[in-house]
Amino acid sequence: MRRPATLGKILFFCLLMLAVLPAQARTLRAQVDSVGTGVGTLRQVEMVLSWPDGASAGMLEMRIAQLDVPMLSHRSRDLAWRCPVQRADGGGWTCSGPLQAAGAAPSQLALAWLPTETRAELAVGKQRLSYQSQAASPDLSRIGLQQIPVAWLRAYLASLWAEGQWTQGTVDGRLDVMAPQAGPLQVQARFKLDDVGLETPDGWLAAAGLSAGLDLDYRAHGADTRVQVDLTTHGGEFLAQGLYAQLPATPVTVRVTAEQRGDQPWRIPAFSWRDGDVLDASGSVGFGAADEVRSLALDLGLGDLAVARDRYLSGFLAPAGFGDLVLSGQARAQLSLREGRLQSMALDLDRATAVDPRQRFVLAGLDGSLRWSAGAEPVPSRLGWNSGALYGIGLGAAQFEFTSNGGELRLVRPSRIAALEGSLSLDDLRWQPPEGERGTRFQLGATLAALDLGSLSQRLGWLPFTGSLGGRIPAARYEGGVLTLDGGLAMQVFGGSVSLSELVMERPFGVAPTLSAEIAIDDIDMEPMTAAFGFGAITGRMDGRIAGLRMVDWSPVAFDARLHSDDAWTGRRRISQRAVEDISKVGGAGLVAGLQTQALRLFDDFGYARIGLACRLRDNVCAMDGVGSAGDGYTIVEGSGLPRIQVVGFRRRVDWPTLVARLVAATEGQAPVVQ
Amino acid sequence: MGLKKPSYLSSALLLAGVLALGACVTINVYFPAAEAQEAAEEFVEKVLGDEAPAAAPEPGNPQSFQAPVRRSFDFSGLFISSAQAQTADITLRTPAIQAIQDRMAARFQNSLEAHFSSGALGFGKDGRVVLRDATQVGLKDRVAVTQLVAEENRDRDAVYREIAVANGHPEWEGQIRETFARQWVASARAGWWYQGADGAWKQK
Repeated sequence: MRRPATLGKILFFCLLMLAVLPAQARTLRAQVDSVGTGVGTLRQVEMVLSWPDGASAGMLEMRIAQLDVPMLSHRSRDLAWRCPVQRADGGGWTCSGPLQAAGAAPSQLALAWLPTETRAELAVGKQRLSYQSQAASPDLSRIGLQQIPVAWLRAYLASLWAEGQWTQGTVDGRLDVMAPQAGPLQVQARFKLDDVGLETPDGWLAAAGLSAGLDLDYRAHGADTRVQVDLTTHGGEFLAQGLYAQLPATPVTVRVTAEQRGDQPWRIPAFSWRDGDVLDASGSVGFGAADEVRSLALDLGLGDLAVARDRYLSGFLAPAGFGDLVLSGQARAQLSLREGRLQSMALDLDRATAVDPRQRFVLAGLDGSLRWSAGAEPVPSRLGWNSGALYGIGLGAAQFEFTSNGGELRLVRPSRIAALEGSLSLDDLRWQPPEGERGTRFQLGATLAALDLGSLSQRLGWLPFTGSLGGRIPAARYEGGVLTLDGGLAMQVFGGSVSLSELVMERPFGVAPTLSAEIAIDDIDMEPMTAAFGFGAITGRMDGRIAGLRMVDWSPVAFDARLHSDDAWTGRRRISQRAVEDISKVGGAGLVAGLQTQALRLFDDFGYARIGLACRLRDNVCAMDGVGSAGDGYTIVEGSGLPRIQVVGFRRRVDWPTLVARLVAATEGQAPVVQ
Repeated sequence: MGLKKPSYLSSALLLAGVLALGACVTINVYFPAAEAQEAAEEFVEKVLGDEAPAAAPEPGNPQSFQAPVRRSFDFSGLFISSAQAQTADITLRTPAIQAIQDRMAARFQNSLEAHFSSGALGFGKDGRVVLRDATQVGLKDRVAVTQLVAEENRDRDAVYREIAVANGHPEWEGQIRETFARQWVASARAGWWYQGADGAWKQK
């Protein structure tokens, strides 16, 4: 920045001429076509200085056809400045008077040429702009700002930082520019920003309603540059990439030191961000040749997660789908990146709680730490929680011991978690963060022991199964939004078993989570099952399979199910009158052949040879089948002995929701609504 | 197959082997491009709402229509049932897809539409929504819009995937995504932005 000296020199020259001219009524006229100064250009300047004889003050009249001040993006026409020129006490001159410009509010311009300093001050209403240069330190220029709208400074600021678009706000303060012929260029500024708005075209950095005190210290010595910024904010919003900060009215101090030596990349040897008890971050950053982050040391403390979530974390949580996550407690994180590679990460939690209002998970009383290291030396850590829940299924307290080296975090020993009156044991857990092209990798092994199926059914809103669920998942992998479980789970229900295998979940915590599985049903005792479901009474065993089950949002969308009585069963095969009715209802306004409905009511139960029902679900429609064909229909119950019954379904295609409604109605003992 | 003379056995096995191999290689279910486009159009029009222009895209636009891949004579068709080689219908009638569609329609008509009109959002070439000019969104709303865009894209990814899976061909996901990407652009209103194949933004 150069001092606007030229205009001052012309005025000074005029005054000097007056002083040396013979003593008489003197009028001096000067006309200049164009005057260029460091801050602006004046065109067609006309000056008239009249100094009556013996008067202590003269009158300066100055007319300027056009004034351009690029720094303030300012252009005005037909300016007129009229002021009394007075000799100052200690020598020198002062002149202060109204400045008028076409179409602009009247303003006041004061100039002073003193032996000790040169001073100019422009006042427009409450806005004041001043310039000061002292004789003792000719290299120092001081610019003062008072309630100057950032819009005035837009062009000047754009010359410093092309991408920044300043949208609103005012600036107060001063700027000292030290530009000696030899020695470092030094700029020191102390500004007060009020309600400032900032944008960049690519939207990565933005601020709105920002009120802050800004201290800036800039030094350029040869090829070396050093900048120190101290910012104390009092409210406003700030966005930088993913970080969205809603700054409180209480002071938040941000201090950044940045330096560049020669043509080496920029470095931030130290930065800090302190927001009372809520956030306390510090560290350093090193950039590479393409301004990418090469090294980073970060120490982040979040003293109150509940407040920090709204102030600082919403920008990260919301896009990830956890915008309404309720957090509390304390957290501290450390991260170290060297040569563009992650070296270590650590997370310490103190009585932290995370509750997903969409009921996907709850973790309460998280305590302990997770430490990940790329180094060779194993780093231990330990994390636990008091209680938790996953899709409404309660989880008991748990403690996990980890170790980490070589870029992998591993569970040291199996951990047991109480769940559904049984237990869930996490046998193995391995986690690797994303690196380069490779996404994050996650592997776990778990054993489920004696989980109560009744509670599970209730939580998931299923039919009231009773029994237990167990099994071992030797390996589950999570990659690219897909969770694949090797091994299988087996449910022990009603004396038989239901085994689940080839379990795959897509988007387990995302949109419309899916679950696909193959289910085999073996030797289920129908007597307790029908009793539990209030579905009449059937004796015998049931086998079957549900192939290609696919559930979306926990509702089945496709499967190929076939349930049938166990042919190998040697015991009694009886079906109660009520069960026949219920099956008839579920099968859809079926038929009973071989017996009139009225006659049916005379008997409590009947013998059967085979019972079977199949449904192939596609597009919300069930293609039904039974144990065999019966004319156009299909046989669901094939009777045996006398009285002989046969239940036949005639509708081959049944709307799935209707079928579910009928099944629910039958198990609840209600008459189905015939649609 | 009753073979009476053992001398035929080896040649018959060879022939069977060749046929089996041939069948393995040539079983092909063609991506039903026309049906997919029709389904995408129906889906997209419902999400974008009533004010959309007439559904049919300009016939001259090569991006809007893609002729169904023509099936040349397939020798394997002689040996495998024709049903396997037929093009499939593209169905969107699963409750999950419809639930997502309803949510997308509500989100679009309540919030995203205004940001498409302002130019803040555009249709990406990968069938997703892109925040192309964040400065068009006030800072207060930017996190909310970013969240909406993330949610919308999660829904879209799920829809493309679910349509492919619901039609029994998970491997069609990429083609379904491309079909939708073209359809969002074809159904976009004048003035909205979209990304060309080269990644450059264009205004419709």
